[in-house]
Amino acid sequence: MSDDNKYSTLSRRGFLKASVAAAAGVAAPTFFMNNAHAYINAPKGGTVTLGFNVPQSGAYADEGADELRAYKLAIKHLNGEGDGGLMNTMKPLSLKGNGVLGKKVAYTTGDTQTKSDAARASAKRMIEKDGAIMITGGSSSGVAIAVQSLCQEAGVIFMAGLTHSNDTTGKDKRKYGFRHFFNTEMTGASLAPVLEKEFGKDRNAYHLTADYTWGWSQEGSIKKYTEQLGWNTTAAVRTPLGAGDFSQYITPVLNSGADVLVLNHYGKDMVNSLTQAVQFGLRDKMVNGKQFQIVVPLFSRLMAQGAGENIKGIFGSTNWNWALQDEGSKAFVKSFGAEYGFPPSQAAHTCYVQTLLYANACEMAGTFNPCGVIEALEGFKFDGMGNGATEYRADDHQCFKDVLVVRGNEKPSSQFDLLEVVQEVPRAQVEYPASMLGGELGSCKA
Amino acid sequence: MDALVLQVLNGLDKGAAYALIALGLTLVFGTLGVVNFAHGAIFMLGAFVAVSVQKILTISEKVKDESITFFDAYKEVPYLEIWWGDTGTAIIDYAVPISVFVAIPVMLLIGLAMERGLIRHFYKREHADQILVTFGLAIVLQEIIKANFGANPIPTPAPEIVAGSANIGLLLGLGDGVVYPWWRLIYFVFAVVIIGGVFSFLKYTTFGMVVRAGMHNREMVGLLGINIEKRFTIVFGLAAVVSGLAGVMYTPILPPDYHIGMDFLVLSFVVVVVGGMGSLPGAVSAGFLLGILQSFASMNVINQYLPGIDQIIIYLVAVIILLFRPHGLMGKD
Repeated sequence: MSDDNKYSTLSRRGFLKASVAAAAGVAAPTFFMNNAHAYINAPKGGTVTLGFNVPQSGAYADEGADELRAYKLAIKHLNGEGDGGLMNTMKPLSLKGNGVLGKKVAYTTGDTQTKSDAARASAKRMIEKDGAIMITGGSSSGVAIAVQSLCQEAGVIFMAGLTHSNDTTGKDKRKYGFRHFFNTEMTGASLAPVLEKEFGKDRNAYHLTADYTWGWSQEGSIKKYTEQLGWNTTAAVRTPLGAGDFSQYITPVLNSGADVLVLNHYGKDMVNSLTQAVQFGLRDKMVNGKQFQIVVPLFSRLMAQGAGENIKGIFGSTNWNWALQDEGSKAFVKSFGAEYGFPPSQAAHTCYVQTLLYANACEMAGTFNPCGVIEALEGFKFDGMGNGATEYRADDHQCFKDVLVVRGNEKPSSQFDLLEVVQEVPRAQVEYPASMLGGELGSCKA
Repeated sequence: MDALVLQVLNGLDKGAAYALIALGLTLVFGTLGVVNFAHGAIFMLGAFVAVSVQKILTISEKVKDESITFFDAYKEVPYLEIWWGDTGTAIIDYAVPISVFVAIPVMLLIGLAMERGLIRHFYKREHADQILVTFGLAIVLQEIIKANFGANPIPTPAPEIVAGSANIGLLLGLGDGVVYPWWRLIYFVFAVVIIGGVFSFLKYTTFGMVVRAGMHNREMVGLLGINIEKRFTIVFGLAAVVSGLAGVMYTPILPPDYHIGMDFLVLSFVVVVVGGMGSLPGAVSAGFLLGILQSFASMNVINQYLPGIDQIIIYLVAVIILLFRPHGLMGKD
């Protein structure tokens, strides 16, 4: 008998074996889906792990360090340790101070290095090896968008930290991604009227812009709103992220005819470019019969600290400031200050709030299943977190709340009193239709 | 006209940094024949001498900040200020100039230790081996600095008296449109003095004459009974001092972090290759040339037609020069 004949013959016993194997094969996927793994990294045992992916080196390392402090404080409060921080003021609140859904909250950390590829690798490691059920962090929109996209593919919720580009909840928005921080559209809408009031309608602006998604977005929004006022844009020059020495970009400003320099930089880049612009005597110049002005659209206290005296009198916008006098802000500053000896930055605030919001949504949904959590977060309205009444808009997962226009404090009352709130711009003034920024959320994988 | 003057000044101050690092790199290659990828790390170590001096001068006592009422906050008051008041403040203010004097012996020792401890074992090895070992050394040094000082850039400001800008335009009769930061001008003058000093040392001293002879024909100098190895070791130390001083003086321009050396290393190698491997005048001229080209490439009028040219101009020029002059501007066959 040849080999061919051997395999072509089917015995009764063989048929039965094959049938059983085929039935098991068909049934297996359903079995796995119905049981353990309806979602990735479902908590087993008494703990649930969150992944904190922050820049611990690179241009945004200061923000990253403060974010990590805030995350650790949030974990303490969620587990019922410390003074409870914003859990004392948040409304409505489902959290009980016994972890999340009765499980103790643990965490794992990663260094994004302010680079998208490093951030994705770090998030992937936290999901695949450390069992993180939620990823949060990032101090760069490029990083946030990259990690948000990875989380969408993995079916893990991403609670964005400090990311300000419109794209995060615009053209690159994702079903699994949520942003509490404001965006460049809101900065433009809130800051431009103040700039008009302070500097007038007849101005020539020169933009120096960090050459990545956030910089482009920021430049676009400021140009849009200032040009509507009647300002002229003299030039918009792109600078590499982390350039360090900006002198070669600043010298052309001196004789460009511009009377306003808009620094679309953040973190160390902003500290360096502002310091160098001041060293080049820009703030002492009179151009077109007007005093030369510098504007930093996105401000933070950490940057103000780095830039020292140079920040005084300079306008910008911010998501939150430690000097606010609402109950939520006071509770958070007290708690953070007691823990670390200095007040939190806006990066710390947004990261802390995001952690609590995620945990609260799990309690509301009664599950860690991302689809349930997403449903709980979409359209969630809350208060007492330092920004007044706030809503997570279901259409784009962007939080809508009041925006602060600030100015470098000329007469600080303490070492931390670096930004003076000029105006609390109401939510209505900065709100826009979700369709304006494009993008598709996609769907949940359940 | 004002814009052109400003870009030239900017190019000169950038070029000064490139030239100083490239000078040290060329000294080592020209004398020892070693391709030293740890040279950027030496620049970084120089910068961290300034950081260390600043840290030592600002060792502080923690004092409760009474202006913060709702949590315990503390201010750091340097002991020098507590003990000596304004004099203490002035000493702290001059941390960078003080660091220049500290850096000379420190960098010389580091250079000698590096050469005696590691580099000399690789003189007769392939360039690939030299690159690997010096690159490895650079990474080790970087990580040591990162472990001790953290990953963040550390502000190291210039003295208050030179923190502002000089009105160069008025001095040159161009009106008041040309202002330039004092410290950058000082950096340029400092670089010229150091470069001049190194050239004079090599040209007008017996030691320098022997070194130059050794660079041309090492064997012949040895046959004359001169211990050229010993002199080359000192040259390595000298190169470390030049690069270290470049690092110290650069700290007020750019707050240093552990990676600052790597950022400059690639550019400096391009400078050395463009100038001609082993040619000291070539390295210096190429440093200034590429600095000025980079500065001009950042002008709006150029960027309008060639967007992003400021990012690649140095490499583009290097490719073109090497195509037409494979041994660089002043290199010899």
